[in-house]
Amino acid sequence: MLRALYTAASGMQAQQINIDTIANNIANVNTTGFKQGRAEFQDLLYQTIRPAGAASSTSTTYPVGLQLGLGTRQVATDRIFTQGDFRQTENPFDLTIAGKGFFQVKLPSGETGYTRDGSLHPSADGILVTSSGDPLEPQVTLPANWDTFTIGKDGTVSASVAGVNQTVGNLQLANFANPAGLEAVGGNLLKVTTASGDAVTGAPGENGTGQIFQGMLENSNVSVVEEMVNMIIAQRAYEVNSRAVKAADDMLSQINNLTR
Amino acid sequence: MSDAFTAGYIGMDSRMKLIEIVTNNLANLQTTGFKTDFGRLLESEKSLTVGSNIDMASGEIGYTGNDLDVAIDGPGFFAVQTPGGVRYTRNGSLSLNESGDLVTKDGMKVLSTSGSPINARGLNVAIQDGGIVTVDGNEVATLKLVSFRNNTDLQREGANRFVWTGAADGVQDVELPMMKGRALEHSNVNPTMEMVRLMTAYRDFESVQKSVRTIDSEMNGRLIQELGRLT
Repeated sequence: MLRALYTAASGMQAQQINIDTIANNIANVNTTGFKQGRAEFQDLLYQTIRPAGAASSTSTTYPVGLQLGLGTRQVATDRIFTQGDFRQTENPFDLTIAGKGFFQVKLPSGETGYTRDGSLHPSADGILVTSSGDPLEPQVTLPANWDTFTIGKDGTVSASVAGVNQTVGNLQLANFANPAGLEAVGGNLLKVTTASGDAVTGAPGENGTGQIFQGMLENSNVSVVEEMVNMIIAQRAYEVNSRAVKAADDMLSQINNLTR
Repeated sequence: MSDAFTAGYIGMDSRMKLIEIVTNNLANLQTTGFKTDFGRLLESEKSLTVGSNIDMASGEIGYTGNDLDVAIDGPGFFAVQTPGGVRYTRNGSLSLNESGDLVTKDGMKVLSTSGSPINARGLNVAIQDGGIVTVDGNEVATLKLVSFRNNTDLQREGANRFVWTGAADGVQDVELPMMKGRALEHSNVNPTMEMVRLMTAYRDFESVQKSVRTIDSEMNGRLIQELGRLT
């Protein structure tokens, strides 16, 4: 009987993690470049009480076996890399990637971070940095006293100074064999792992990366309606598992009452 | 008298097993590709045993938009290579590992129609309808789908996997494989049905428990107390 208690508890625990994932998605519904997370479950081990085909007499066998499952467990939080909607901002420092690929960012630790958030700013020295102040990689420095500033679809950054147009840098995007294997570290940043494979970099539009559009940002790809539905399902699934705990508990109490 | 107690024990124990099966189904309400177990009571010559069957009905197919999700829209199982041999699953939530092999979420390689793992090294890997794996738009392999002669020799292993315990020729390729790309098959557990099963088994348990208590206190107890009185 204790099996049922633990089994139902594993179901409740799984739904708790599910709700945590959903809550994080909903909290990031307005986060630029955020990618929806999804909790994935698997059934746990099975206890084979009697295999199918066991002898029921000397000449006959049981046509069905008896396997008792021990519940569920969470196996992964998948990240869904579908394209978010574009939002027109008219700010020349806002960039969006139409397609796959990530901006590369040099982190203070010296590592390279990857992000879909193209909300950039010039630093005091004219270096293009993210909202958290990390410079893009390869670094792009704007000349002093620039008048206009454009970024082409292929990542060419040009600025005009006193009416003379000049190329000041090239943006590069990174792509991965398995983007879902990247590790989220917060701050819209992802880090490379052994599961993601190494970064393949190239100009936007090359190596399967998308082109860059200026003056737009990519919205979070979280769909509020979908998350609300998922939340209802998760909550009900939690509830139904708690009923099973109650039933198991009641049965245990009845066993205890067999002798008075 | 002891016969009644044994019958009572079997009656309660079998209901407990039924509840354990129901509980496992409920715990797996959200497990991709999960198949409901239904427990049943089997009357044998001397006792009552519990058997569990797998309900192979399709779960609902939900669109996810994820390039590496694939749902089986009909009969069949994906074949995956595990350390213990080939296993079968309906869970099409796939991923790529670091060397570009198509794997399940616990890292087991998925097999193609040719029976070999699928290497999809490239930057735009997707699974199309029909289970066709494409890399940058080029077809590289098709997912293998197999069916079984019967479901009774199919044992659960956990982690969404089944193991075939019957004869080797009981596994055939599905003739008309139907797969949907960018979609997943939900668990086929029906919570309403499971709650009904839970209630039924629970009430049955209660009845048996009442009868055991009656036998004990009203009959056995009285027998000992009344008959044993000497004066």
